[in-house]
Amino acid sequence: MEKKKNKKVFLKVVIIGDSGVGKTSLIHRYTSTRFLQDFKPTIGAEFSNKEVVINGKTVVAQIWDTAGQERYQSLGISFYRGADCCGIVFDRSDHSSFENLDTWKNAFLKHGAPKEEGTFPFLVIGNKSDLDDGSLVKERDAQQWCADNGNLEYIETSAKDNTSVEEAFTKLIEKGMEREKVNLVELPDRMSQKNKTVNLQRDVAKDVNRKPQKKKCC
Amino acid sequence: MEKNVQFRVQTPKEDESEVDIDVVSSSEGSESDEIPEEISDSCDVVTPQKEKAHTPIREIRSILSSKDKRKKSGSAKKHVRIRHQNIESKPGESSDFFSRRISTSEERFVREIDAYQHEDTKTISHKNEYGFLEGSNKLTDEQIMRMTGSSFIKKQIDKRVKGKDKSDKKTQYVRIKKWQRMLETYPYKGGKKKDTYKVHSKLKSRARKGIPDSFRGTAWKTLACIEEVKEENSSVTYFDLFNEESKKDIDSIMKDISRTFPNHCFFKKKFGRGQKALFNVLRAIANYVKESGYVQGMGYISAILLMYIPEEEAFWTMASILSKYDHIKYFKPKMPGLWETFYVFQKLMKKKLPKVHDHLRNLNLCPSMYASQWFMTLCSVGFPYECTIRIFDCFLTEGPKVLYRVALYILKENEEELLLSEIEDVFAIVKIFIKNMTEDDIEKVHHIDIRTKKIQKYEQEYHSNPDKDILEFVKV
Repeated sequence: MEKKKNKKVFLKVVIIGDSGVGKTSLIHRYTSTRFLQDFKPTIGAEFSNKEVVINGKTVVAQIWDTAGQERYQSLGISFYRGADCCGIVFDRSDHSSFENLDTWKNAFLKHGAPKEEGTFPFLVIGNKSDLDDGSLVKERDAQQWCADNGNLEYIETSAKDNTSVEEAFTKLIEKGMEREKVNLVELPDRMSQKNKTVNLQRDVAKDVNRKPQKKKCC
Repeated sequence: MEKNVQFRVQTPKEDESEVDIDVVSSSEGSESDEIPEEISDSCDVVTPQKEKAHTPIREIRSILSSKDKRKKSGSAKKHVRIRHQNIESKPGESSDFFSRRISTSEERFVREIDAYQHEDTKTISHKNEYGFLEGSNKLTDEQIMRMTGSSFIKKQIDKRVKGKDKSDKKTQYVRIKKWQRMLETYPYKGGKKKDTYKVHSKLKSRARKGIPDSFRGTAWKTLACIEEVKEENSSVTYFDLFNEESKKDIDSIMKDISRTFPNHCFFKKKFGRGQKALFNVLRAIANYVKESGYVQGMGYISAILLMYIPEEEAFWTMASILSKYDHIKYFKPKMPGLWETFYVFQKLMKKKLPKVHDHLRNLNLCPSMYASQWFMTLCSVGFPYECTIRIFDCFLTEGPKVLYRVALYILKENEEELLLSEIEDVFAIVKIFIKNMTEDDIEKVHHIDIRTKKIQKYEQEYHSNPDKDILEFVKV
């Protein structure tokens, strides 16, 4: 068991973007395979976790869903730190959310302060593709923006119809993995840290468990 | 000598859940004098059965109608005819709480009828006693486990006892009486002070038991001292505030109103009464606190207030929460209050739950990752509704210390599990626990001994000479 655990790779995935573009819905679709009907504004941040096997490796993606409103950026910063990859979501039916991509990317790079500013793995996600009434943000425009901003990858999704949601996250995680490979030094370090903490707590926990048992006997 | 007259409502389908309303009438006239006349004016209920509507009405909890006749006739037509005045108070109109003390239940009554008439009856009939539509897709424990990727074995939550049976109408009536008498002299000399939150111990203990639901609206606005807030802001009226243009906020408010409690019958309908009221209140709030504008999270609090209090007064209650309870600190640019709160919270945790503190610290989990919702929205997101309103009861009487108590209680109750857990488990444990909280939990919350003075001491420390280690950890 222990050996298996060691093979796991932990990835921190952060999803950012304007309020109401569907970040929570996308993550929900991915982690619980259903569409959230009564979605609500995210306050602060939400955590979810998904274990996937990519290229024979078990990856645990820790996905952070952040609040979209500008005011929450001061809180969001704490989630940017140590991210392995970042998905920027915009609503294809809301052009202003597309225009804000710049702001989001810059804010992430500024506050997350990743080592490689130029090559940090971003994925641009155009959500709500199901609302096709001809006025959606065009793929051409989105691709153009991505090309202008360091050849980022772009994908169109719909959390409602479950179009390309799985692909988007898989891509994102793969990108994060590639980054991990480059920074090989980081990996064993983090793993050992993780194991250390586990061992310590198990001991503490055992002590906690023993006490009530003794009492019962007496 | 009391006579209970029961009116019942049933929607056309026969075997649906129904809501009972009790109208308690007493033949001893001494108390019936106090019943405001406007009630009988504002809702004239015509029942096809023997009962005539002109019995003194004490408490209206829901829709009235007759059951038996419809069964016979089998017709789908509604047998309730309601005539009501526009009860939203006009700007500038002075409102006396006690002469209008049933206005909240009256308002709720009208709202429910509204919803009843507009929505398709099938969905409405499935709402619970608080107006939430049942069967809306709430996450189950298993789904939360899957989402957070936790493999933690949950403790047997199902065995826990549900809240007390509140159905005893007589005790409820007595409690309402007590509350009325108690709040007649509230606030005590000198008005509300945000640095002490001192209230009479009797009021405190009664608030902890929960304010009677039909009196809740009146109690909330009295506890929040909205008259005082109105006086302090006598230069502005609600009407001016929500009519003022604030372009930036309107978009974000619009985005959020349809996402705030869409599973409640009052807010369900797009651009319906509820959503309109919420929109107005939020717009007024955005103009009232110009330095912060509209911030997500205000919507949840306002929506809950609107379920009990008419629009204008709900606005002033919200204004009071922001100013008198200093809740605005969470919404100001850069959210200074949040960091202060987390610092205090971390300090308190270190003192009260040292093991949990050390463990979460080892996992590198700071409060901003799990606790921001609890403080910012006054526990209105993720918590069962009946718990949220009980927390509101206590928050409005005792001030923010209640929130710290709730937060520490959640960690304390799960101490054993948390000590065994990894990051993903922490989220699952906490989420599932909160989702399954009962009203009993809310009463136990107060066993955690945290004083306002202590909180203030730590707040001062945060500003003057903070513990650098904790500060760095909290602020990341």
